[in-house]
Amino acid sequence: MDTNPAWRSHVIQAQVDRCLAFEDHIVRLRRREYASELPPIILDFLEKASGHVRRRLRHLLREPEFTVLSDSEAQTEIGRYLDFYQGMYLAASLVERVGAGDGLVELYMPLRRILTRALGEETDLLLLPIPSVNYSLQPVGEGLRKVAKGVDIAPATLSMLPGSIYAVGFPGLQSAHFVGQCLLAHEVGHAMYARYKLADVLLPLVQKDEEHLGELARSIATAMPDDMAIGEVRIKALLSTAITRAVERWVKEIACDIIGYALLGPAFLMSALHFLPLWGPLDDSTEYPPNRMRLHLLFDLLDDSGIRYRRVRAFLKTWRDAVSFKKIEWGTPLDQLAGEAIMTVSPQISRVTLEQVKDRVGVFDYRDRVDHIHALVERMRQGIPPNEVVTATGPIPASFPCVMNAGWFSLLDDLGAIRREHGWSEKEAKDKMNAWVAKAVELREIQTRWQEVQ
Amino acid sequence: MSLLSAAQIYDRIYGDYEGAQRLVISPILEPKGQLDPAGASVDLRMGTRFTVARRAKVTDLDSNALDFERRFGSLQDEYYVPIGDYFVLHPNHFVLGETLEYVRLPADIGAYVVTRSSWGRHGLVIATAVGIHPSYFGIITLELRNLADIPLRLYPGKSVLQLFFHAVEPPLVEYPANESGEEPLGAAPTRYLGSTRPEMGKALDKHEREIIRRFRNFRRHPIKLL
Repeated sequence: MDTNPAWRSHVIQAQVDRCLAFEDHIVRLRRREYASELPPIILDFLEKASGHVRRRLRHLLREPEFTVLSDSEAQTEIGRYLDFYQGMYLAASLVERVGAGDGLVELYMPLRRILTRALGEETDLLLLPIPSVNYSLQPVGEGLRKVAKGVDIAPATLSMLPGSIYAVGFPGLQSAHFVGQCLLAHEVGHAMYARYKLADVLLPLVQKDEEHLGELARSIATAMPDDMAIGEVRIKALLSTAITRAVERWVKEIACDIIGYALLGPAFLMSALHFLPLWGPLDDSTEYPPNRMRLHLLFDLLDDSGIRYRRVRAFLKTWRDAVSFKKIEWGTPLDQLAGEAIMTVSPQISRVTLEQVKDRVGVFDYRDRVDHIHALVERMRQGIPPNEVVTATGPIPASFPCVMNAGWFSLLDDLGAIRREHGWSEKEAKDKMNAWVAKAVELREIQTRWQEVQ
Repeated sequence: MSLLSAAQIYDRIYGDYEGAQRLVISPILEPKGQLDPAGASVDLRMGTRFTVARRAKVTDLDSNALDFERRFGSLQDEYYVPIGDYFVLHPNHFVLGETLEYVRLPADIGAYVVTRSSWGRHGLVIATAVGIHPSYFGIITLELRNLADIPLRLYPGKSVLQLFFHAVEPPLVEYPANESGEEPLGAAPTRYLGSTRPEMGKALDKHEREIIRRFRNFRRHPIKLL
């Protein structure tokens, strides 16, 4: 058997050095301040797990089972620890980004409340800025647990982590635009889409147009040179697979939009209108469906008859007209087949998704809260954060969706008046109004929790 | 100038007042505890943000410098401390904090900030600029300093100060801000209006800065005068 104990020793020492450097980094991360309790918990877990792995590596050389392995088998064994460190580095880098600033700390608790209501008490999140103009959601806990189990981390160490952890990313350079962050509800939608297995109920609704698919396959087969011909049936099968994949991706994004709307109502739509055009022309399609299609479906959900604010209604009408001004210009025939198959059943997709959300976390209908929202908009006009509604029995904390909707309505309807009243520039006024909404989200959460812990 | 009683404060908060006539203190988490019917003040709580100057970088604080706000503004650290956690204020350390509550005063009411006596006895000074003008709205920035010999833990959510109110007669005349947002001398201060987090002091206003600059020029070149 080919064995080289000296070489093995070097390889293991390199791994041990890696552990020590990692643990040093964890110590540095521990010195930072974090707005929630999860980052220190993850750091404790990483430090313990790394210490465990380091000790295991040092013992390997003395273990009889290890010494009888060939060098290549030994390398495979050591490789298990490499995989483990990939997961550890990822988790540490996420925590590092949480500590990079205090961006959106106000949103941590409302998002956590939604997630725990939707997915169970043992759910937590890392809310972190990402260096791109995008939002993201990444499950972290499962991956960590899986790699930790692979290297025999003690169950007690594993149990330090909450059941589910999601890293929720927001565009770090856009965090000052607080009301625009309603799009985070779309990312929460991704967690719900996966957990509720919505694909299983939504994808069967979408039927491919076999006739057009056949025509497309036939036209491609006819156009192909003889020496490249692969047959109409084969082409149709390939096209069908490509369409299926596009439908899977697009239905997921659309369902998450619907969930976002279900959680936050018009505020979600207005955030989408503010954000999606940054991605380019309305008809561009990539792994995401065309924005015109997404906005079209969101407008179908909106009944704006209860919105009393002239400028908000004008804003929405301008957008609705722009979106429905013309049909979607599909980028490719495949996009068209996938998109039209989805659009045909879009009412059913919306209905089924809303039913799933309603049963589990409830759906926010702004029309049931028009008076509350109006009272909150009035507070904004007075220069006061919209955190509570004063009723005959005293003030009650406003709901999170009401605050975000009031914030959007006020920004669109009252920005000019507030700016003129105080002599602020447009940017100053926008910054103040966004800050009032952020303050309101923080205060209404404190008020709610104050009552809960009594 | 008369001090408002608890009943009058209660009335201005919860009574039948419209818009800017209403006194707003929000949130009042425990109305009975914070607004003692036998007293003449409202207790306010420590907020969740603290601002600390980066001593290793700040050479001095010159509020007459033209680039004061840009330069000094970037030399502070802000700490967010959620309720349940604490911030340690060391002896002689100066830190800006905030009230948890956001306030809005009507045009006919002014206010004074006073440290609660139990905190004062621990050595905590909470405000040096204690007056709040009528028509002010925003959080109240606290100028925190520990005068004792031992570090103090400051818990967001704890009652730390009392706000006393007095009537202003006649009510403040509100000066409209001019187009550039600049305050005329003597106008109701608008520089800190609408604040939601503790803010370091702003630069002196342009008029004062110019007067002081001219004095300095006069000392250097007395013949040229102004």
